[in-house]
Amino acid sequence: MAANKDSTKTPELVADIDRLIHEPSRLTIMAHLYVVESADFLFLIRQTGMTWGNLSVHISKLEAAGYLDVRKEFLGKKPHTVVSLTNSGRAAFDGYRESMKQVLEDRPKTG
Amino acid sequence: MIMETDPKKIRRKVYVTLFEDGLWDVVLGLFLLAWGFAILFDLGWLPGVGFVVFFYLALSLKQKITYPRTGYARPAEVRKQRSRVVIAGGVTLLLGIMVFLLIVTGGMPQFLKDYFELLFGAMLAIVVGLVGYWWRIVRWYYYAGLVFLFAAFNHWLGLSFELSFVIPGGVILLYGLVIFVRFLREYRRVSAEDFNGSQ
Repeated sequence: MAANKDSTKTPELVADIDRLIHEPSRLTIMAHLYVVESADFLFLIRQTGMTWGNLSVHISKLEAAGYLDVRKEFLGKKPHTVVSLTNSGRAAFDGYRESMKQVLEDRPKTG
Repeated sequence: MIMETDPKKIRRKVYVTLFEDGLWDVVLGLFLLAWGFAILFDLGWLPGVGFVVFFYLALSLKQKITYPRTGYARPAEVRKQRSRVVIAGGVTLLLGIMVFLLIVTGGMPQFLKDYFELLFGAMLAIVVGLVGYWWRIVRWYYYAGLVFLFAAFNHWLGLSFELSFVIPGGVILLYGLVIFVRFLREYRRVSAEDFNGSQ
């Protein structure tokens, strides 16, 4: 049987997927931060339904990778911690979306 | 855990949360009421001063009441949105000044004199509708329709001009307060401990 061009390409595309972003919790964090300039922990918890501890762990991992910027800002007179995507984080998320799109579109149609 | 990853759906959710407390609806209602009372009691300064006061009151309430319950997010398009609000406000102000000057100088065309209240109501309705469109808040389209409807009632049924602001303003204010009370019941003030182990 002739080699299926699609089936040889897919493993390479899958290997290109950013596994740091691909984890479901981190994916949803990145997706939410993609559409805002910044958000605080409480907003992310309300939107994602994660626990505080779980959110902290994943944000720390993304921050360590340079995808997120975590800083203290003032809301009125009160300080609070806000999170935002860095430029490399935004580029990484765009790259992830493109990779997933290629993987899913590369599959041969069935039926 | 809520696994929403579609940026379009998330963006819509973010905009909904910005208006979820009903405070901007209350501001709009109070602003329209201020217009009505300004016409009724000849207080030309009331709408402008009122808008500034209500706006900053709403911002203060958001910081004290809303954000401790929902958290805070700054939409990515906030600068573009702010410029749109400024444009909408500027257009309204410019048209208002033009109309005022025309009235004062007596140079108003007959058409404008005959349809002044209807056109003024239409102008306000357009601004309200535009704000709803830019912030993607559907109920503001209904508010725009309500404002125009009462301007039309006023024009064709001969109601007093101030009623075409007071009634829609009162309705929108009441609905905004209903949304606010519902928001307070749905969201309580939380701390970090409330979200540990809730998954």
